[in-house]
Amino acid sequence: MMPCITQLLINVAMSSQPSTNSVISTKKPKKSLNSKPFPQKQIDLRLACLLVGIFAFLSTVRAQSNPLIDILSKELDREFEVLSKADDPVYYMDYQVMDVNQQIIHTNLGSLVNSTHSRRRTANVNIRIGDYQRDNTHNVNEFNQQQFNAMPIALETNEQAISHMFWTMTNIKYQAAVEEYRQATAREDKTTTADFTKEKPEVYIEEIEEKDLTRDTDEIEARLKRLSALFLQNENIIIGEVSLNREVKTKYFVSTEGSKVAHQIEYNFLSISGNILDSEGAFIPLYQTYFAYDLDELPDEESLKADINRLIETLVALQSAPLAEPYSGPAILHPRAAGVFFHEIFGHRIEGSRLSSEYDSQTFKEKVGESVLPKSISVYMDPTIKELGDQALLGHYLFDDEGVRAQKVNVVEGGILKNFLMTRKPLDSFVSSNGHARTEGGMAPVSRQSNLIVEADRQLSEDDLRKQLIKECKKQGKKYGYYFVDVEGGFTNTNRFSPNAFNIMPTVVYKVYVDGRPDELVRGVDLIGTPLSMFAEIKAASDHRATFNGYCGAESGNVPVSATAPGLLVRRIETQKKMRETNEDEAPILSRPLSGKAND
Amino acid sequence: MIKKLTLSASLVVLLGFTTSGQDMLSTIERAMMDEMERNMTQLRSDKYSDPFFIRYRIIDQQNITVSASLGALHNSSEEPFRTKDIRVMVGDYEFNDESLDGDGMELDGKYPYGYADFTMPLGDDYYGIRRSLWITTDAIYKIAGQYYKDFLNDLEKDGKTYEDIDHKRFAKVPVVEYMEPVLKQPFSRKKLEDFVREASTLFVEYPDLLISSVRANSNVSTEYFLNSEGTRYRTSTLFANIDFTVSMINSEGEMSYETHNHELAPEDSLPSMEEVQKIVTGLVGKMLAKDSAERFVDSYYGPVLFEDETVSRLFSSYLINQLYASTQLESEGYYGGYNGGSHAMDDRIGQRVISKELSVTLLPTLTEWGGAALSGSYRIDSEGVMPADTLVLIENGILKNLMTSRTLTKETQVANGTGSGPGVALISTSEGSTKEALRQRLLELARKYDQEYAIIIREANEYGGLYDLSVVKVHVETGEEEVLRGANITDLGINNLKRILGISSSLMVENHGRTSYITPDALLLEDVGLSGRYNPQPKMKEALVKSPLVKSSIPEK
Repeated sequence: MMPCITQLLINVAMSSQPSTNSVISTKKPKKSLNSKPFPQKQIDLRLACLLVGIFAFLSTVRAQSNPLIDILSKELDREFEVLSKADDPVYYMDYQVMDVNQQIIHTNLGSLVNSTHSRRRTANVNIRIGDYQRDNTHNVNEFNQQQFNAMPIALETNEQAISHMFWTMTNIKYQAAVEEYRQATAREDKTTTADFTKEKPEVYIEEIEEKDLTRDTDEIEARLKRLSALFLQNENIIIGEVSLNREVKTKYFVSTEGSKVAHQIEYNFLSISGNILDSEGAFIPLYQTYFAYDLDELPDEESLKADINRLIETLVALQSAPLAEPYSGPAILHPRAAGVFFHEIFGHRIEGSRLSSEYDSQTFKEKVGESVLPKSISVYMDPTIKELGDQALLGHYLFDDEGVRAQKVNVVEGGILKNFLMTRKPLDSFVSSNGHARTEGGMAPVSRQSNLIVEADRQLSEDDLRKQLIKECKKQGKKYGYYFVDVEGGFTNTNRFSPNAFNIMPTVVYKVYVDGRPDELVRGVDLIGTPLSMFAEIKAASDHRATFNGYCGAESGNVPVSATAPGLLVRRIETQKKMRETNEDEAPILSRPLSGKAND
Repeated sequence: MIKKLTLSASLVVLLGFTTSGQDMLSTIERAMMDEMERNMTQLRSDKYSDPFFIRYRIIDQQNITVSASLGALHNSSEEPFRTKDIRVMVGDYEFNDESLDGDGMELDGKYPYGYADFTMPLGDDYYGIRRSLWITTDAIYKIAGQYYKDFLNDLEKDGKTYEDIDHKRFAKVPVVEYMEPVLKQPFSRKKLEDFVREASTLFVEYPDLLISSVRANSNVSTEYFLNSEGTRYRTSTLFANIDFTVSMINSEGEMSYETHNHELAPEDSLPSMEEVQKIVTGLVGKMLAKDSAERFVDSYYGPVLFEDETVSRLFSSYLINQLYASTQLESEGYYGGYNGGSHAMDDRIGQRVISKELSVTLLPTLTEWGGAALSGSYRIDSEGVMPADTLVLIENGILKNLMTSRTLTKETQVANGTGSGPGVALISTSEGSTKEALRQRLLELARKYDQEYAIIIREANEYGGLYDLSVVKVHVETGEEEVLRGANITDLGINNLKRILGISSSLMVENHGRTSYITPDALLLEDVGLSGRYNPQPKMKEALVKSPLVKSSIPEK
């Protein structure tokens, strides 16, 4: 079994710059009347408002049917008609298609280094032999179902090509399921938990839009080049990237229970990242990302210019900032950092699939009804919401990858653990899915987080939180506390084979002195710890909250998630020195060619 | 694609296209020259010696790949991309940062880890191209400089000079300019899409195939080269092909595959649907024939007649790939540990290495042979060295020369423009026979050795390899042929080529990607071992539900 190490990552620049992968998104979309909006539609604001309204209406329009759903249903019925009466009868089947239409444009220091558009469709077939109580998946932990055998299928909705591919996959999957069922029933097993929950069939077919992502490629490329050229103003910046990753993901699902689902989500990520060399030849990276469901909602060029200039200023400040020493003591986590903190140390430990694994440390499995967090804190997971205030939440979806409608899950109420994130694989007394079976595609879905939201009853203003930090520092005899302003991501380990530690990777960290000195920017530390001890140290929360949007990488691949939390005052955190990427030498010997000039 | 020809009386070497450097410089070339000039004159450090050699290669690719199955597109992409390849050397031609081997010293790839690379930009981006070259040149120079410094320090510590130890030299070669015009994509994406869509519909007639697909790829690769010695070149090549792939569950319950690769020369048009129909029929027929064949289960050791494409595969696998001069030091490296350099061939120059009936001649600049295009043809290698039109490697069995790059490990070695590979290899014979005569000779030998049958190998496997083969069992008494499948060659090596029992005088051409082989169409070897292939595949049964392509199988509602 693979170790349950999870990471909160965004793969914005995955095709050309895999090293630039951990980015954050907290900026709310900005509108400006004085400059062109970023997106493709060059229209005035009044029209924009109207179109947003129309789109909002269209997005709720339900189609009566969909040609691809019809093809899948027809082939599924034809197969089930025979296989449900076979010697090894099938009791459940589903067919799934994931259609990903993607555009990636990547610029660096004013140059276009990658511009690709791809479209791919992959198909999955699930077959269950036996019955809901005992079937061929019995004792096969979801985490062991790595080989899901997704296969590419036609991009065009061509009945003979698509139905033939599903016929091929069904044949292969059925024969494998027969063998699995023989093995499952040959073993003596006293387990009473069912293998598959019964869920209400869902019929939800959206009007699927064929979106041409390449329509404004030239204009977007030119704009990203202009933006990344801003990094040329600083001689010491080695990398200055601006990238756009657009993805229209359409999922189709049909099952023999009667579910028919077709829904589409568009994701637009814009990221800016800079890399400067410090005096020891180590790279200091900084990232900022923006996420929107509509391209139009990304910030305009002027806003982005201002953000890039601010990022450059921070990079320059970090260049000469002192390296922090390992520390143990009080700290404030900015809401984004707190969001990542909760995602890593709490969120992964309430994923039902993980808890059913005997290899998992099962931190909370037996703690339902018990206090697991300070009683002022509640946590819920809600994939049904697209926005919180004016912040788009990346973990939104309507149906999970088992065709179950997404549901809000109250995980912790007043510090008491109430629920887990469930798939159709039951866990003890949790015998229904709550729509959290998720996969990147190509792997078996397991329970994963969606939009994690942390709420606190007692909230302090930012100033009061800071005063509490200083008070706590004095109480502990510390000269300073830490303020973690921004993070690039984190990871944790939940299995039994290694310590259940977590690691949050901050990018902007200040020392807050108790003697009233100005805050001091420092660099080179990671926030570390173990989960249960950390929960006990949460002392207060701020009245301001923010969202971290990112991709979470775990057993079923990278899935989009968000984490929204208030700022937190923690009585005792621990830091360790960050691993530094050094060039083994100082800055480049020669100056950057033609500094300041973007291109011919 | 195999094209059979008859041996010409003499070799005709065609001169390729060459121009002087009078043409207009492209943005890429200007950026390379300006950054080269700046680095060669200004890249200096107190810590390291100056660089004495820098080489820039930029490869600009325009690639279209489309595939379809049963009339529908599965994939369609058209993506430009550029890569860079930079070499910076410190020291001099006699002794430099690449002169010594040692544990963990991957000197062929002095690419540093953890440095902030700048991907080579697309388009006519003069400044961006220079910045991309700048940052990588800097990083590699520092590594090269450190290696060289370490070498000198260690030698000094040991009281030695480089002359006291085995080391590699960097060959001095003539400065040349060779500029080819930049090729354009011969096919539009839409044209290829339409083609694969239509071609793939022909498989609808075979509903029981598990998978069928037609994939077309057209890649125009333009390579820009400049080194600090003044050599520069620009080459532009097209590699276009169409792959046909089918898969089915065979009678033993295994998934079996069959492919057909149809290569396209620059002037070729896409095959007509009549031609495609023949390919499809042949491919499916071949797979069905293979399925109906019995499995080869014997352990065979005796004479084997290699025919058609298997001859070039044999020479490629067992001879040509051994004719490279070693780029590794023969003795234990100065730093101990790694000693990967086998100089077996270097030491056998002047000796007989294969049958005296065989000669191996490289004809790298030859572009066609009897009307067949040679995809391996090239005018300059990837180190900027122009090969001679003719380079004899083996003459009547005697090893005369080896393919040698600019990295020299022996005093006798000379860079000969073959660092990138053989290009076009002609394997010829002084005394040829006919294929039929070789077949008779095979049977005679089998009789002599009291064998019930002899073996002929006519086809490589679907991947072009000499394993999991279909072989022909020829019964000695009756002369009847029986096709068997799943045979592996277990005993065959270059020494088998020392004693050749017969060779055909008829030559054929086969292109293996960027290498072309002109070989006899039959070769009889003795003492070749074969055995049945171990097959651990899970067994599958016929589908309970009929293929949806069988219209009558769809139940009435």
